[in-house]
Amino acid sequence: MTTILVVEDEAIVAIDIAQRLKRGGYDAPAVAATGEAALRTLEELHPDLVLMDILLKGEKDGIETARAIKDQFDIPVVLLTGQADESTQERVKNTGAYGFILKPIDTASLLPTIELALARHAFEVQLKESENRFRAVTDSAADAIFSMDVQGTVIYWNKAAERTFGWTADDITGQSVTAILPESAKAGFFKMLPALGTRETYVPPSFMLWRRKDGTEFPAEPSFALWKTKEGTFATAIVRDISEQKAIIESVQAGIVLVDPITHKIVDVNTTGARLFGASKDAIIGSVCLRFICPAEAGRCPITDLGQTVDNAERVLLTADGKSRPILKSVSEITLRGRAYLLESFVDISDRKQMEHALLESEAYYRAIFESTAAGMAILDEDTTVVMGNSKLEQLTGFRKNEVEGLKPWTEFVAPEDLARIKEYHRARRRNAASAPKEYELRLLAKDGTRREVFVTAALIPGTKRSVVSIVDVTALKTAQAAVLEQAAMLDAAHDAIMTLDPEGRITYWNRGAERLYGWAKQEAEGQNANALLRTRFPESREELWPKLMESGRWEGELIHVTRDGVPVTVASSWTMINDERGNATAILEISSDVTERKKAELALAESEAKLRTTIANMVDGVLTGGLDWKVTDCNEAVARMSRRSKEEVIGKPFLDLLAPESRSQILETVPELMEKGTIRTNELWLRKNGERIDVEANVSLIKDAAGQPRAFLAVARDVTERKKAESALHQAQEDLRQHATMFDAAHDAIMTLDPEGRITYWNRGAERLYGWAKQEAEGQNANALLRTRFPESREELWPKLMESGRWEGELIHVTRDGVPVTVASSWTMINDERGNATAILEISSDVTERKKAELALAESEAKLRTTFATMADGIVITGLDEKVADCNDAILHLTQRSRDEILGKPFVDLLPPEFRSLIHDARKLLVGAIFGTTGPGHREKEPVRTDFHVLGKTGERVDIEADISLIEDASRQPAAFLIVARDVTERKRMEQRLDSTLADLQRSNAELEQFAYIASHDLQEPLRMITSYVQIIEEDYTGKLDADADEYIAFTVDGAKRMQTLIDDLLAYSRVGTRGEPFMPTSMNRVLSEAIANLEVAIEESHAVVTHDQLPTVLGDESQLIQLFQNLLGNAIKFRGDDAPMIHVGVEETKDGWVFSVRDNGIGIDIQYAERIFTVFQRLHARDDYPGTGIGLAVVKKIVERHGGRIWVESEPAQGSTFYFTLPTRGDNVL
Amino acid sequence: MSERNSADYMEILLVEDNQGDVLLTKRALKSGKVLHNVHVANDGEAALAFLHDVEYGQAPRPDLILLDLNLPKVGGREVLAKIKSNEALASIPVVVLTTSKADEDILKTYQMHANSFITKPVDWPQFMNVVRLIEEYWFTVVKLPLHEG
Repeated sequence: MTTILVVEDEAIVAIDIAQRLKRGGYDAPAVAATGEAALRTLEELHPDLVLMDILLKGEKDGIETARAIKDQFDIPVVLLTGQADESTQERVKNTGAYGFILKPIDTASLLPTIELALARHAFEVQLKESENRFRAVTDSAADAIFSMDVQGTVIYWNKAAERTFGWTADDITGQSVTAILPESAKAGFFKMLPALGTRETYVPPSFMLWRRKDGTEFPAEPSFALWKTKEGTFATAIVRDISEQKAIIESVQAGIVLVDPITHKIVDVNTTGARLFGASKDAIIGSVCLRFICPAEAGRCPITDLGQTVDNAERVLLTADGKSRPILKSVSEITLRGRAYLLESFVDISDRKQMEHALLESEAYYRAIFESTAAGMAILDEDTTVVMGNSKLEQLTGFRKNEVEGLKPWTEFVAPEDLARIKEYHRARRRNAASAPKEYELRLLAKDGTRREVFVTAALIPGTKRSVVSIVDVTALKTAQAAVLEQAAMLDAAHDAIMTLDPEGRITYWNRGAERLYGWAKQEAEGQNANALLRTRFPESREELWPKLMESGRWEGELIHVTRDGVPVTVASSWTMINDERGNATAILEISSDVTERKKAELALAESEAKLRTTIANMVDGVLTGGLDWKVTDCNEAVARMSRRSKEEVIGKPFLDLLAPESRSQILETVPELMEKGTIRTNELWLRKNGERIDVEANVSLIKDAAGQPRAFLAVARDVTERKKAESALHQAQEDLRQHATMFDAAHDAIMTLDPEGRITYWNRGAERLYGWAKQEAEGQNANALLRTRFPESREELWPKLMESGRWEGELIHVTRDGVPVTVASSWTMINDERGNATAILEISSDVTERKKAELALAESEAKLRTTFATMADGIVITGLDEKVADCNDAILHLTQRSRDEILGKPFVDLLPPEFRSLIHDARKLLVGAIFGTTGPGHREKEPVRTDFHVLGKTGERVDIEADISLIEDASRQPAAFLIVARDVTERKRMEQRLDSTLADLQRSNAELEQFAYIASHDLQEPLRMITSYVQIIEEDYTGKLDADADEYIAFTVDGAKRMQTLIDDLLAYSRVGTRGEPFMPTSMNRVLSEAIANLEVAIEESHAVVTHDQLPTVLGDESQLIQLFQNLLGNAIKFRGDDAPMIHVGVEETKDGWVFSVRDNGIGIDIQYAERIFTVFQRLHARDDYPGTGIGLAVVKKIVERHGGRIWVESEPAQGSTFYFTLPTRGDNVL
Repeated sequence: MSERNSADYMEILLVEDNQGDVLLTKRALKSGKVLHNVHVANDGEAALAFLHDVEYGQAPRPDLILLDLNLPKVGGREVLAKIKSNEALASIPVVVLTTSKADEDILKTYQMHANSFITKPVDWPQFMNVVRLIEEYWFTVVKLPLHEG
């Protein structure tokens, strides 16, 4: 059953709709009142359709909800609306709703609209699925697929097309298809397109050339399909790239033609075929095959039926210039683009034919061939006598021809173990040629008794009893074969990558090593073209490689193969030709080992060597090498620099020349140690060219050859003169240090030593920095005079302490060079000599000025704070985390009427009535929660918690308090205390309460007043009606029967009664604005205005008034009151008209404060000083005789506007017309 | 169907406490063309008593009842309810004639099956006009059921 969710905030309407739906055969199991509820319900219910009111309470109205449904769910929405105007329809359309139904709902329009929406949605779902299917198929197709219109503009482009043509769908869509056509194909293509108009699919007879984005061209077979839609005719092309097949066909060394089996026309021919035919491809394609092939059977094709094949039949081919060529021809059937073709391939055998002919013709030629063949040959008589032999036979047997021909039997050359078998062959061949093997092996016995493995081909010469044998020495081959066979078993286990290739370069064997190295499994690799699979890069051109390989049967070198993962691998490869017994190459054996790492290592080594070389050259240390004769063979710049010699002056000279004479013998003494240990460290003096001596420290190593024999030495020498100096200075310093060890504790501090007279004897950099005096300025000065030292205690007290304990610590104030006093934390130490006599005072001081300042500031700030604390009007309490009062000010004592003693140390809440027991506890939760982010959005960190409570004074009077409670954190951000700032708000509370009650009184009084006005005016009606009616009856019965005065009095009475009547009516209307208003509903101001205009129809007609208006919005309001509002304003505009017919315009403008409506007229206008008064009850600006009225109209207007939350005002000039403005609030969905 | 003699007087029950209105109504009815008898009940109790007599043949059966809503003792609505729930009386057309304009009064009386609701016009000429229209409508335009006894 079809399920419908009804979204309607009017419960009655919703139930009505649900019932109608149920009667109509739908299931309406749920009703949602708001957009939000609808969205929630949708997730569970998944109805087939949503029926929803546009105007909904809550955050989202129907339009927004419809959009959300469209975005989140694939569920059709039908909207309900009370308005049929265009703007509403437009808005509904924009939501993607499937229809809308006007309220009030009637079943006759409800059910068909729903039916239609469901059907449309179902259709759209199908369409989407079908489109998705189409996309999925075309996008995954291997063939390029694209669509275009008849002008050739591309409208669809699949993934394969992106790959094939290099254009992305985004690039090409909307572009002309000519982008993928070569110049030559464009004209033809556009001729073909109209031709498409007559058929549904079209497959061109042959392939076409296409162009990729990079400009390259390739052949491909297209097929076109045509489709028509309302928009026109379109073509879809499927293009299969056949460039690879083409390339293969082109590279084949056989002529290939493709023939249509029905017309026998040649559809395609390859280059070899064209060459054999002696004509251009263009001339051949389109010709009947018999024109070129099989002319002998002219008009009678040997292939009459498809399904027949011809295999290597000898036929004759007729070339373009009329010559015949013998060919071997094969024909097979092939299906291309869904059509069957004959594929004829043929090879030219005219050469072979000619040779055969020539052999028969020319004995000399025959003989020459016989002689020049690489195999040994012999013609044998029936009795095995060798009739004729060639020179190769001489080589094989070691006999001269003349020693053999006609003299020796063949059997003499056969090893004894093979003899019986050979004789049998010989005999059998002569009985029946087919019964003896044509090929066999035997061991040939040479003149010198050596044996050779030979391979023999034997055949009878037709028509004779003689036979021809051809003998090939396979000894080497056999040996190689044996070796290969032996290796074969090892191949798989080999670490190297081993493969064999057939003559076409296809892999025929692939070992585990190859699998490991190249990543291709055996079954993947075998049968593949090796170079294609491995993307082999040869170090030399293949033209050079092949001759080498052919000549020597072997090639070795480095190749780069690319692995399956695309990683290039450098291999050291050796290729070996493997020949069959007749010496024909049957395979290539490639054995490769990965040298990538070696290569890398080589490169790294070279790099590292270069680095080393550069490093040595640039080293600060001197590096030199020398022979065992101690002559320097090489050195770097540093050696030259150190020795103050040029490199040339060092190299070739004895190493000892660099040394000072006193060091030479010392060095020579170290030689045995060097020989023994291989490396030693030496210290020596070098003598510079200028006679200077320098201290040198050297590491000397022996360089040994592979056999471990010393061949040379290497010395790395460092000039340590400065260091030595430094060391000796250090040594000296250390001596001093020993005396003043404590001085060096902390160099950052200002350190000085004083002699017993108080003169400065030492002054460090810290002292320079701190006091501003340089070392040389300070040393020798009296310290106290220089620094104007102020002691915290009298020097009389300081000295005894220092003398007694040898130490004093305290704060001093020194004055810097700039006159700034510096507070220092100072420690003084007495330094005594060995005999215990004071020799010096060591003063180590650190600057504590900043700390002092901070301390002072803190103290000051604390004092300030305390004063503030004490004198503040607000009560302040500080409690610990235990909520016990730690401190408080006087104000809180006053507030709580307690003494300090009564408060301090007690829980704060003890001061409060029992209901506030958890006051601090609650605040704490919020405060701590805020720190840890658990409080939620209600409370922000660091913000005090505001709380209200009261305390009862000693005498029981209540003090209302408003307090802010904050958390005080310690330095590590841990809660440490609570701060409670309390204010006495008793008076404020009292005022607030009084205000509240006054307000309530006022509201009650207003309501009573309105009620009174209503009842009063209603009850006034009754007696008034009596007065009116009876005066009128008197008028009716007695007019003219009394005197003239009486008639006039009666008329006044009637008039007065009528006016009273109007007054009461108006007053009633006025009071009803407040007491009898309807709830606010969405109300179209357009409709309100037209209603008001209709009510004023008579007045408008009489006055010839013209009322124009802007497009007005829908607002939330009381419709009948809004009608009244316009009616009064328009009525006034007509009533207070000038001499011209009234022109009234109702305008509206949206501002940030809401809608501003205006009613502009061209009437008599209002003096602006009365602009306020006119809105007051019973206020009139004109004599009743000029403009009748009670003066309530605008008061009612004002009351209506105010009830709607708006304002009203007037802008006017007398005689210029007036404009009344009033505002109404905008609601989010009250849009135009 | 109705074999009403045109010379017959139409019987009208006027339930009205305001003597002024009684007079006005009578005067207005008089100005019409229909021959009629007006029976006046000054409160609800009197109206019910009259109708009780009607049931027992003690009083002429009214062809039309003009009923004010604001009545002393028993109110107009109660009278209306009694009439419409009494099978013998329910078919008598009741025209509510009142000073009220209130929507809730209008709705309520119709829900209680009043046959018309008319607000008394304030103006005499209008009042006369309304009463004449009532007279014309109920006694010349409409066909009323015939009752025996």
